[in-house]
Amino acid sequence: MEQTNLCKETIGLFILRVCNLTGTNTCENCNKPICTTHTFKQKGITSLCLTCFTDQDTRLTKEIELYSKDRYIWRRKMIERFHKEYEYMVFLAEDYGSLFDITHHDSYDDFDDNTSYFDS
Amino acid sequence: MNKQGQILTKEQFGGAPIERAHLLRGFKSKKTPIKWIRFFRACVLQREHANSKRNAFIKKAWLSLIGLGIILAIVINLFGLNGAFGALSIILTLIVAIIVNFTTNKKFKKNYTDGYDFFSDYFSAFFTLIEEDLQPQTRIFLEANVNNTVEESNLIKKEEYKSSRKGFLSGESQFYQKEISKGSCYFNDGSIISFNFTERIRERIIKKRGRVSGKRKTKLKYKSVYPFTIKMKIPKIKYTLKPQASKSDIKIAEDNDYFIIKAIRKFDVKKENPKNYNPEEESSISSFSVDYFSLEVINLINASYSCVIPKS
Repeated sequence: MEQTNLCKETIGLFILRVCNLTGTNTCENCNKPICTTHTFKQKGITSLCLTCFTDQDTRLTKEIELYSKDRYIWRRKMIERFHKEYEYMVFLAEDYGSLFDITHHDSYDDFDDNTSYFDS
Repeated sequence: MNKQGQILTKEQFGGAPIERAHLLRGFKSKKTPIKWIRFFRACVLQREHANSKRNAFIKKAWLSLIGLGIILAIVINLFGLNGAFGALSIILTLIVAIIVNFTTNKKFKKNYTDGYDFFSDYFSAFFTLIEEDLQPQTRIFLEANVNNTVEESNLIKKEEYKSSRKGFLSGESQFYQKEISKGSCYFNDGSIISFNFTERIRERIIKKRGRVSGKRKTKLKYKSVYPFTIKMKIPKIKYTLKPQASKSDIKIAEDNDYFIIKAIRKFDVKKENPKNYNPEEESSISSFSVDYFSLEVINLINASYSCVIPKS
């Protein structure tokens, strides 16, 4: 039962995997369960998944603002273009589960929360 | 309207303090992709905001000073003083206006640079593309230097330049190189990505005699290229090396834990987009479209991954 409530949107550029966050909505086009991150409102009403929304979005990539939720759409459009224009190497997570075993990088200090956007 | 969520505006950054990244012409930090995008955008918007303020101030200063000069001239005329004093007052206020104009522009140039427009466009796109492949909550390290490349400290070598063109007197080519940015991040499969982006400029100083006037002239011509290097450390625990891995444009090495793969893409506007090449411009960094640049950079990671096979 739990499986059906997880977000089924595919994410990643090289290592594709399913989002798997809690699916709080359903795509009104393909009936796929989707999380809030991957829910996009068409004309402010219809809830669509990223895939269906991107298919129907006619904007050019240069018209899309990256500092907004629209960057998911921009990324999907660019990835589709990359698939068409380049010989593309992709690893599917479900085929290679070991890719997602947690890797610790001891040398990488990622805990100093010095994240103000005015840092320089 | 399909637009999702809010966007940043320059008004949001109107009250922000002068950015150190602008003053220092560089930065060094670790942030998530979205915070980097916000940072780049903030740099651009702050400059835009300061530029609008500067233009408004200069306009106001000119109008006020010229107005003051005219009023003074009228008053002097009304009091029946020598007309030369009226003209002198206008000239004086004009001189003050020119000085105000000059100092305001100088202060603006010292405090702000347009070097971040490039990061805002190109690196925002690059980071957005790799965002979902990064380890969750991980941050990208990035260091940047947006100082001018054609400076003594970046001079690599000088060469004599000769030409058989009519009127040519002497010439010299000067080669400059500066690392614009470097950084690193971790992918969710444990791979470590390091990248490096460099600007190389050839400045050609040509002394010649003008065809018509015969006067001596010095002409400056530029050519710039931008090598982007990606070095990937791919964990041996998860991947094996492909037997026929293409090695023509890729260097492969290994240590105990990683396959180390290095791929380089040299952006050269003269070769790739000659219509946009202008020999009189020092930098051609913005001659490539954002989409083209980001896809070409992503393809370096793609090419590196193409050398390995995941262990099932």
